Amino acid sequence: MSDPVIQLKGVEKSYPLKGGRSWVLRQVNINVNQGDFISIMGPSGSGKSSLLNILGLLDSEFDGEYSLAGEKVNGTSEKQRKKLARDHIGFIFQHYHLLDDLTVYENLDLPLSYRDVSAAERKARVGDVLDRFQIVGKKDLYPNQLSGGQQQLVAVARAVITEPAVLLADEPTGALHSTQGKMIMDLLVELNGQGMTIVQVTHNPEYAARGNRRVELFDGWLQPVAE
Amino acid sequence: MPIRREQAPVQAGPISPPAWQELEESSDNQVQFAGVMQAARTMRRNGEAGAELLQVAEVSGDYFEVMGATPAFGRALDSGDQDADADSAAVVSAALAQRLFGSASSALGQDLRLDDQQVVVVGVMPSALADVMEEDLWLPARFQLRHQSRGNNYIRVLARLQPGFAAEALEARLAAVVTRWESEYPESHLGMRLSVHGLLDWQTRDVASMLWLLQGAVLLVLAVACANVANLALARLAGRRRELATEAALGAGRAHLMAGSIAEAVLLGLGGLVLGLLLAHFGLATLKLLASESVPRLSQLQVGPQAWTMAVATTVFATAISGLLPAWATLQMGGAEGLRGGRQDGADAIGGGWRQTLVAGQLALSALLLVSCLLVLLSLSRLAAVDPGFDTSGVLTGRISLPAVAALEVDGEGSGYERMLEASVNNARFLDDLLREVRAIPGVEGATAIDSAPLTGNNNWNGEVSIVGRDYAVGTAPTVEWRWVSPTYFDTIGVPVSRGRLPSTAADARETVINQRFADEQFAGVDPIGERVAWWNDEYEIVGVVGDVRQWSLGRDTSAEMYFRYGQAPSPETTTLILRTGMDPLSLTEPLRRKLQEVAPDTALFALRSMQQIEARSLSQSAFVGQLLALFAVTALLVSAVGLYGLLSFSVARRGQELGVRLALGATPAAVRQLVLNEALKLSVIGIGTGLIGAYFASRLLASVVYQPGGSDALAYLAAGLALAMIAAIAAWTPAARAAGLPPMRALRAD
Ligand SMILES: Nc1ncnc2c1ncn2[C@@H]1O[C@H](COP(=O)(O)OP(=O)(O)O)[C@@H](O)[C@H]1O
Ligand SMILES: [Mg+2]
Repeated sequence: MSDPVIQLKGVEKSYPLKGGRSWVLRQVNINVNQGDFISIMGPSGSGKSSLLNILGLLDSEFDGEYSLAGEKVNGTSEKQRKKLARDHIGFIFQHYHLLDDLTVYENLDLPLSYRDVSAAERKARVGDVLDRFQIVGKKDLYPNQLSGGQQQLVAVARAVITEPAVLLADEPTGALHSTQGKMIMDLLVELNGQGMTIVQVTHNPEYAARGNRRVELFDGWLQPVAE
Repeated sequence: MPIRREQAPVQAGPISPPAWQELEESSDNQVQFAGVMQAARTMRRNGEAGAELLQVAEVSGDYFEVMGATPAFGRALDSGDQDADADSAAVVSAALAQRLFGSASSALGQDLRLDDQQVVVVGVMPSALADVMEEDLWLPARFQLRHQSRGNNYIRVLARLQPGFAAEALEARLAAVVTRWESEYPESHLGMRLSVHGLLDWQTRDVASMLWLLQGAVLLVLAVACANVANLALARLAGRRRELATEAALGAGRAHLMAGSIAEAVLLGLGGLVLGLLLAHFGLATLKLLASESVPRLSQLQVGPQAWTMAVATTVFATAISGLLPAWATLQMGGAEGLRGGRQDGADAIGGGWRQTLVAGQLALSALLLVSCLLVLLSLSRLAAVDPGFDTSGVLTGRISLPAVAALEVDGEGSGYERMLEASVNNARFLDDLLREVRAIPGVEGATAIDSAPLTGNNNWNGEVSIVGRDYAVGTAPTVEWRWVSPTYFDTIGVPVSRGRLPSTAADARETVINQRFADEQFAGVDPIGERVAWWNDEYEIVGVVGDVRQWSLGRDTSAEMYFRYGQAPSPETTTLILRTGMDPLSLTEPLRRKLQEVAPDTALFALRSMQQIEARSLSQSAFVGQLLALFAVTALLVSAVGLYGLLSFSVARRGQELGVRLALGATPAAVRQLVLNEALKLSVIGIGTGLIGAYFASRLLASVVYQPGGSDALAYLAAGLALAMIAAIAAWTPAARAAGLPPMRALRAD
């Protein structure tokens, strides 16, 4: 078996709080392998988003060791971390975070525009993704012309268009009705089936069960869930 | 109301004694006319040495009634004083009374000698009227004793209209009179028109357009400031969006929702009013200093009830303007959209659009002001670079009265000419002697005289002349400005003789030199030398052509001129001494004064100025406008920069989440910074572009203060555009850098 895509060793995260520190993550150790579909569960405020931010390299202020795709994250420059993130990470958010004044097409093109991809290649990839996610008919619409489920669909498409090694999803179904939620979960399972590594945060035990591993966070402490 | 004779080609002027007499006799219960002749007279006090030149107005009997002016002491002049055999009475200004007799009241009954006329002071004017009636002394006019020719125009006319009789009615009445004159005396009156003006309008005519221009500039600055206040209020509102929406949802009424915005605007307005009035109070002195050379009636300027009223009105207006928009936006936000928690909602979009428009508008107005300011400054530099036609360095000028004055004529035309010519011959002799003495003053390299110094526009005589041998239809003879000079004038002042020679010094010679302009206009392709010009009772042979000199001001082209020698033609009774020196010319004022005291104690010397001072005065109006516009432009620029900065800061705060998403999707900080800069760029291009286009159209309003608009003006647009773009870039940089430094996860979390 190859090295894990994500390897966390003794990761700790804290915020200064008057006189002391407030701990958000304590001694987190986890290995995520190629092709894993991991669900993180836990009560509100337990540190799930904080963990995902660290995994997504949006947050570099933590203690412990983190290597992504075999490369050490700690101690590298901001620039290198940005590059690592660009090369390996895709993000889905609870509130979709599509850009309101860009069309679906432009939203999909956005991550590519920040990478070194030729115009022709960008066109091809956006077309490809529109096709794969069956949203060709929506490409000229603006986000507020779409339902929540459709918006999240676009957000997933936008996350995978760069073909990341890892897809990070922070409560991707949190704002959706159950049918739409199911649709998004089906999509994630399908992507996982095609070989994409996924780490999702969810409150829904049913959705959590669709991953191959579940972990739980309590007050910053990570523990595996018995199968 | 001043009445002016308009008759081509001379622009505007007074009327002749016969014409005046008809007008005076037509005074009735609807309109009352007064005639005034202005003159400079040399005053000596009985039993005292020294002489002084006074600005004197010889006025008709109704003058004081028409002006509505009552003396503070004594009586006014009336028609009885005009009788040739009445005792000579005079009314003096408060300032003159104060200076001569120590107090206004003690002037009554005192004797004064004006030239060789003895007068008694019968009245003293109040000092409050000094700005309207600028003379030192008023004498009864005896127009009936003067040359009664209809071509001899020197009486200024004023009229008082009774209530209910409009200026238009007076114009109609005058038009009828002129029509009759035209048919009866076509040689004098063909093409003439009498125009009626308001007294205040007339006194401020030279600066009216400049003052309107400045008024416009002030309004622009006000607009920029209002836009900024509205903008700030909108930004604050956007911050309170949720709160307002919740209040609205809980049933708060419109009035309640708007109350905050309005209270805020009113408070700001009041603060602004107080600060503004304080500033006006303390800034006025500076303003008076800046404008001293270019604005009439300046001493009357004060922060009084009128200014207070204006300030309050302006404040109310500005408050309404800058408070209304936010209040209206509040109502929009009070609607349901406010609560719909999406990232961007309708209310933000509305406020945002307005805010962008406001900032672009501010930039546009600033561009307009900046271009105007630069155009004026460029024009100023062009003006300063104008070649006046002579060497202005090391020149001192001072006006003097001449001793020989032709007595008033009593009878025919010829004898008046003879007497004036005789006076001129005597004055020429006097000048030759005086100038010889003046040249002996240490440091003086040359001394000469001309009736009025270049660049001053003072005391000019002009009129029609005819070139002998040419036939002219009525009213088509060339109009020429006449000058009188001492023999050394051209050499001393440095004006080249381009053809021929100077007039001979023989007293009985009748020779003239003309300027290049005259030669070009009347002798194109012909040699003017040897041609003869008929002027008054004589013919003058053109013996030379001299270079053009800017006689009126740097900004005004030279007219056709002919120069007489003193003593060869009747001449004005004051002249200007011109001293050339290698030293500071002003250091010669005291030696010159002493010399005059010594060799010609009866001669009044006044208006001593270096030519450089005169040149500066010639530039002063443009300089004044330039300085004020610069002040306005800089103010507008700073306010706009703050506006842009505020808008972008707000926008960065509002777009925090969007920027976070972009960063999470792989945007580099540089890309995010560029995003904010692009917003600034868009606003700047639209704002500055609009402003520059607007400035192009507004620039014609500058015509009154801009000298020879031309090629280099493109520079003003370019420079203004660049300067504004730079300032916009500086204002945008901090918010842009802040955006680039946003930690993505913080941006994502903030909801
Ligand atoms: N910038 C911050 N400063 C201080 N505390 C923070 C900050 N961000 C998050 N926290 C705290 O960290 C804890 C974990 O938050 P989070 O990771 O968002 O939890 P979850 O996503 O599991 O609901 C919470 O108690 C939250 O209050
Ligand atoms: Mg969370």
